[in-house]
Amino acid sequence: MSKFLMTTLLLLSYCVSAQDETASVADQVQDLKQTVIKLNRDLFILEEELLFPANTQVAFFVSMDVGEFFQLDTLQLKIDNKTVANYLYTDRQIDALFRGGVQRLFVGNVRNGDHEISAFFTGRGPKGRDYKRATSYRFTKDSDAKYLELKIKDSERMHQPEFTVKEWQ
Amino acid sequence: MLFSRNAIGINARPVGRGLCLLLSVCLLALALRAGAEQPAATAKARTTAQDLGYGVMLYEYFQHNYLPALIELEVARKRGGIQGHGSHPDLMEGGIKLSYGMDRSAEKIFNRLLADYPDPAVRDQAWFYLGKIAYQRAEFERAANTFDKIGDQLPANLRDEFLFLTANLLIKAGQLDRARQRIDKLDAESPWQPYARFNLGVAYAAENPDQAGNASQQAIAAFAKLADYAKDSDELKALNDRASLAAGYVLLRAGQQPDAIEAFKRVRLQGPYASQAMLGYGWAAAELKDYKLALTPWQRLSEQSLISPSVQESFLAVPFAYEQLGAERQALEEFERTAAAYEVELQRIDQALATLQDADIMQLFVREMGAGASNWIITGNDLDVKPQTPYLAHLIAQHEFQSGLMDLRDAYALQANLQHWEDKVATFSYAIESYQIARDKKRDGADQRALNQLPELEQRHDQLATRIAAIEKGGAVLALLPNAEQARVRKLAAVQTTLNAAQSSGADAAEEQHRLDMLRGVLLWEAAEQYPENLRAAKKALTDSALILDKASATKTQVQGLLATSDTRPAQERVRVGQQQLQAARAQSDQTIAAARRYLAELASAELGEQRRNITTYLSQARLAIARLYDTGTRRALEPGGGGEP
Repeated sequence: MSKFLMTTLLLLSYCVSAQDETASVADQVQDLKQTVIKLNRDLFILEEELLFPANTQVAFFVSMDVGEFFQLDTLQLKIDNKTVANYLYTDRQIDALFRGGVQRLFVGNVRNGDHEISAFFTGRGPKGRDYKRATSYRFTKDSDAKYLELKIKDSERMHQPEFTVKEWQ
Repeated sequence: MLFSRNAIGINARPVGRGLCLLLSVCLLALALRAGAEQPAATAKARTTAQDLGYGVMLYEYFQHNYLPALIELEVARKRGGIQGHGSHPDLMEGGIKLSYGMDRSAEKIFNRLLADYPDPAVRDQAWFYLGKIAYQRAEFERAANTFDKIGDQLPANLRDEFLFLTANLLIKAGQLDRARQRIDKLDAESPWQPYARFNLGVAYAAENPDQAGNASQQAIAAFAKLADYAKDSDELKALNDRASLAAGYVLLRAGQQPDAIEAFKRVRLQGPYASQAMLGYGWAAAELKDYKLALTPWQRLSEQSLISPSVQESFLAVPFAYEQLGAERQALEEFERTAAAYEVELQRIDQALATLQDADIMQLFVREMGAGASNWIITGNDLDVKPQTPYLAHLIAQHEFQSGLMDLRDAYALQANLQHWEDKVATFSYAIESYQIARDKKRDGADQRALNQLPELEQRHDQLATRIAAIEKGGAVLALLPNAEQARVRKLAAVQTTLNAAQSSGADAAEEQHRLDMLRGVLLWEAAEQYPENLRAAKKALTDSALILDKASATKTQVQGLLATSDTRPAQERVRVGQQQLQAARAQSDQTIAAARRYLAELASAELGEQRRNITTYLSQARLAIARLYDTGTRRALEPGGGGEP
């Protein structure tokens, strides 16, 4: 066998073993990802059931439904006059909200009965105009988990963003 | 190798090697674009979430947080599924998994979609992603067959990538004109345009590697298009540099040296391809026999570090030019300097090889660990931070190595995720214990006492209710009088008893009896007057009693509920199982990281070995040239009238 042929065969065998190794490591990483995703799901649910049981759980979500790009800067949430969330948004987060993503802002516990929330947001509109808006909302907590969505929407009447609150069943 | 024709192979053209390098670079560009971009993510269309879980998943996905997005999707499914979005969650899951390097799982999802959904729009997307998976695995025939199944319902945001991938398949099949027609259909603003043009240019350049002709001109035309996109970003500027470099080598191969020089001059000096362009510039000038012009870029290159292959080659090219100019003494000195420099470089590579096994691959190459970060791999000029990394620039540009690095980065991120949960789950046990203590306190406290008092409260309430009912029924107005008035009633009754006794013994008590009757009459009149108010008060007392009783009953229910749910053992068992699963996953992540590091270290080691072989070859050529020049000089010195100078 010529030296050239031997070298070629060696080279080929190296390539095959390198490809096998690639597939093997890639497969291992895929398996690990699958394991971690399932485990995260179970632990997330366990955590919520332990720390935020349905009979006291209240969760707040933020979404944006605006026609023109609105630069959300900050959002503050108070429950019964106590601040529970202060959030400063990055460009990527604003883009995600603008494109239809929903942010899980806060999950906590409250007693059954009536409560009042206040939410404030600041930001800039399409023409660089600064906005500061607030809303308050009363809700009744019962034995089921309570999900409230804070929606930043265009106001048709005032042609600027405003808050609305939606209760999810 | 480059220097191979005579003693140092000076007349061999560098074109073939240069083009080979560029071809490999081209394939890298293809692979990177196909793997890194997720078209649905680039589509700016708004999505309105009908389901909170789906919306939260989208929030993570739009930020390219693929792992949290997939977790949110799993959580939403576990809690009853996603409502109101049809097949979108499945399509999203498949797309995200493809972006996150989980092609096996993504493939299953798309095959399931094909089985479950007759809707042509869903099926076209599924076929597209399955074709893309096959393409990424380099199963090109299967990819082409899969893409052929796509109808006319592919969403607009996937259309350009579909055209890009199928054009690449046509290029690979050698059908370049069909590929060009397909690329012409791409949107003018499509991000795929510059990459498609570049790939087409390289394919045309490679079509007839041994002769100049139409193919080369088509390549030049394709490369020239890249200048239109070079204003947008550093990445596209670098791609334009790459195109100018490729055009230079194509022109050099076609014997159009002046045009080649112009193409090389278009490569930015501060860009990553400057050294290759300077080398090519020198060769174009050398082919024109303008060795002085050739020396300018080569000398500038030879002042740089020997790490770059172009610089390594320039170390031999400079003395070659001196020799061609007749400056043999300078040539000899330069060859000796070159040989010494190569020897030093070999020592450095040996040192790098020796330390590579202990090096942390991630620290060598990775700038940051943020998932989805676009510039997390250290490239180009940043590579001089560790002894090994400068030699591995070529390796970093290879798809195989980049895939391995991405896998390793993801594995480290997963390990960090598991660590985060380990810390968190440890606190769950404390939470359960605190919960148990609070429950016990509540059960044993005031509420428990209220629970014990409940029978007595019920008895009192029943007695009160019976009494009021009897009073109301019998019209016993005196029974509802206040306590002071009740004392008067009892006193009058006692006086009546006394009077009765006196009258029985014969005493005359008619006057007293009359006065007593009067007093009783007044009392009865007052009682009758107060009766409605007294009855209301009595009924209110009964209502209050009922409220107290209800509250006590509710407390009883609550305490009984507490007693029923105070068994925290199931929760503790779930925590224990979670901890066990975390331990197993942690071991799995450790093994995966070790395998990925070993694999990357082997690739890096092989690359360093290749560098060593190249420099060893150059060193041999330099030594041969030195020997040849000494030999020539000796012969000249021995010749009659020789100057005695080697």
